[in-house]
Amino acid sequence: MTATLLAHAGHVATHGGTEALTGVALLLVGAAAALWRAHRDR
Amino acid sequence: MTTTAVSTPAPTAVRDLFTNRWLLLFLAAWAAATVYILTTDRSVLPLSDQEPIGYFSGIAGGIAGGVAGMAVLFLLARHRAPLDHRNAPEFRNPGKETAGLLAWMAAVLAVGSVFDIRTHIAFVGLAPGAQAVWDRQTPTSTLTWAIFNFVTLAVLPYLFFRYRLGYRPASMLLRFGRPKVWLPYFVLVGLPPIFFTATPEYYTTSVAGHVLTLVLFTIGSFLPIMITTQSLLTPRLAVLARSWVTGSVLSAIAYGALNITEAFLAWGSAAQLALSLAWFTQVAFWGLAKAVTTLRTGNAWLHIATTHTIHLAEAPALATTFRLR
Repeated sequence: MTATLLAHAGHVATHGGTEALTGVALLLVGAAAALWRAHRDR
Repeated sequence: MTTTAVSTPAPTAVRDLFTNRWLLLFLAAWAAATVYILTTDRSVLPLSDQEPIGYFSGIAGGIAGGVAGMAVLFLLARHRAPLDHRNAPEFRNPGKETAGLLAWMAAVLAVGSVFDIRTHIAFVGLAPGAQAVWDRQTPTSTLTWAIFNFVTLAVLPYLFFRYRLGYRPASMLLRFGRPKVWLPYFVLVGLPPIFFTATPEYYTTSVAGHVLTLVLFTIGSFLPIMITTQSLLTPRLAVLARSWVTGSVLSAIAYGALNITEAFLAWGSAAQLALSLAWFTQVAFWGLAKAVTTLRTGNAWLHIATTHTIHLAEAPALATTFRLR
């Protein structure tokens, strides 16, 4: 069953780095927005 | 002369939920993503066409049970206001602290991706797709996953906020208040997802396998997500957004971003991008449930019961990895 699953799955968890960069960018945009919001509310 | 009082409905936590445009927008996106996943060619992503029906039957059961669980949670928490800018613990500098936390999460995500370590070791909702991920694991890779997440998302943020910034456990929502109410709730809400997801092998797994599963998921998943996202990030987002519901939606997106390297996501083509975004919304939905639990109750522990205990159903896979079946 495992072999069938793996064959069907193709690759598992082969990440080229793009997705991590996207997540990093999202989080950093959030960080910048938090700073901007705090500055605006001051 | 008499005056007629204009009756304006008193704000309630439930009304807050269903009048918040960001939440309604998020839920609309989630619903659209659900339809897209069910109707599109899912074979463009690894694993995601394995058992989406299993996942969504779980979602359906989860929604039925989750709505009931959330209704009880709102009922039990009715005497306290949700945490937002009006009644959250006093944060010295919520803007800088939130920015620091998000930047730290970005750094953890980047470093983890270099070593192929992600927040979830496998996404249990996609069984047997999750099994395919587990089949690639070794005791070393599993321990590395647990220790990496524990150190980077639990130990270091806790030590920094506790001893460098001087926040007490209560202001990190780590006091388990009203235990006579919330402990029974924790058990009653936390156990059903395990048995709903458990395979027959779950019931024949050794006690040692179950204990190790509890220990490894506690240090590798429950505590890291609790400290970074629920104790520290979510209440500050609610303060900055000046709304506990908007703060929950922002927390959901941050949670999704932290999980963007899930094994079943890929971003190499337009079709993969669209389907991965739809799955991203599903992951973020769980982040939303976590944040609502935390901000409504002021207790960072309770999200483990409402959204996390399901991982304990992975005991057979973990026991097999460690030869403890």
